[in-house]
Amino acid sequence: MTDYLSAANSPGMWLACSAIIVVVIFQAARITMLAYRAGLAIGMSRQQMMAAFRTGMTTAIVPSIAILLGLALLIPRLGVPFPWMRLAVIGSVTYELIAAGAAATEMGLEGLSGRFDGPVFSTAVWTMSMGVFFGLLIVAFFTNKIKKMKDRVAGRDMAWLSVLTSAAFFGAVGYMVAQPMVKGGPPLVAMLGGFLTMVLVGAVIKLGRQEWLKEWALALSIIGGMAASGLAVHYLGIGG
Amino acid sequence: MADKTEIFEERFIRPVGVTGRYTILAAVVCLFLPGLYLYFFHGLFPPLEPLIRALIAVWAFMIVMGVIEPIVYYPILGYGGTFMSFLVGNILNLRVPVSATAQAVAGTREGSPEAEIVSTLGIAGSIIANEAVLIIGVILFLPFIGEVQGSGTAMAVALDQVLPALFGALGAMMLVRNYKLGLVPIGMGLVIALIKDDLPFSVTIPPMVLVSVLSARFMYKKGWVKGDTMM
Repeated sequence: MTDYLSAANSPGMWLACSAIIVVVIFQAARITMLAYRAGLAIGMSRQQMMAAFRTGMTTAIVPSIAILLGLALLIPRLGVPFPWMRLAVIGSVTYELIAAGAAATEMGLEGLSGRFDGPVFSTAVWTMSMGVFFGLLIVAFFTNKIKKMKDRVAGRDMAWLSVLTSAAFFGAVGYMVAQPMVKGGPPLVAMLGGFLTMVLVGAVIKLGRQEWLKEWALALSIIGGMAASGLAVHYLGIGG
Repeated sequence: MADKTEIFEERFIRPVGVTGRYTILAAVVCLFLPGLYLYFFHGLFPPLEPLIRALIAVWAFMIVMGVIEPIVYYPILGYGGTFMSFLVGNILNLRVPVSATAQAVAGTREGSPEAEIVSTLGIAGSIIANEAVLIIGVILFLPFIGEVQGSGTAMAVALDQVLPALFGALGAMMLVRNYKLGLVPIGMGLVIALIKDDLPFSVTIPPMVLVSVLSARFMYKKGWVKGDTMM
């Protein structure tokens, strides 16, 4: 039943997934041009602006490689082009995994560990796509309003808004964090592995002042969790 | 001085607003191409009921975040940066640090037109580098797909546990970074899971989000939590 993967990796799928990346690059190029010209008009120097652009490029390279690692986690179930598009645009590994997991569970699978087929795959594709378009419309139509509002939203409200987003996200994943604890077996081992790796990486970042590790923390923790479950199967016979 | 603001408004804010809006609308259309392609060329379409349930689960937190995030990040990303960042994603782990670093390197005053230009250029640079790495990376990766996709391989077995591993990592983030906000959702999740451990996301996510937000509001009013640096 891995037949759907030939559709997921077909040339047509590559084409369908590439369109949005062309839009992203066009947008970045056009806004760069506008910013550069406006900068000259208000008396900024070429060097100053080139430095800003270069800083952006160099700062992004290492985190982008971390994103690539996340890509490897999605490819086995979803083929190559679709996860590639998702992570090149809008997405984050966390959101994509949760959305794909939601689609798979609604289709009667046990999260992402079940066997995918055509209908499950297309449900995941539509869920991942439709889950984010609302946020894009907000930015398209309300960024002007946010610009005007900026001065009126006081610091105190900003603090509450930041708590609110975190609370919404924490609420969304609370049950999923608890699920493996109750289920036990390989999911529990994977979860503990992920948990401990994150604590460890967090400690290294804080105590060792290794800020660059921040972008890698999540990918490393997921790999730590998966490795833990693999090792448990091999040496302790848990699951398998 | 008023002249400079005017030039900036005329040459930057207005054209960027137009470009930003239309490119994002074009992107929204492109967002659905893979799904439509699968339907028209391979006859693959999701059964409606599971799709709607999965969407309820995802929207329950994505709509809240979709409305709040642009407001929270706007002061850091700036006008041009907001349009670009929300289209490309990876905002907290990539765009925010890039914008802050670019502004620090250039030494511009926060909120000034110069800072806006610097932030915009920095974020644009990060996007170009980001897409280049992803395009090169995927080309290098292509020869090895067969290895990863074969079922029954050690890789495939480990990949079965990708979600529990992710949730373990997120649980650690929740408890370490802001345990006051993390305790209620994890505790409530645990209670529900003890009663029934195979509920679909669409049943658990909406009420969990509600309770988590209400308890956060309570703690914020009491002054127990003061703010949070988001994911």
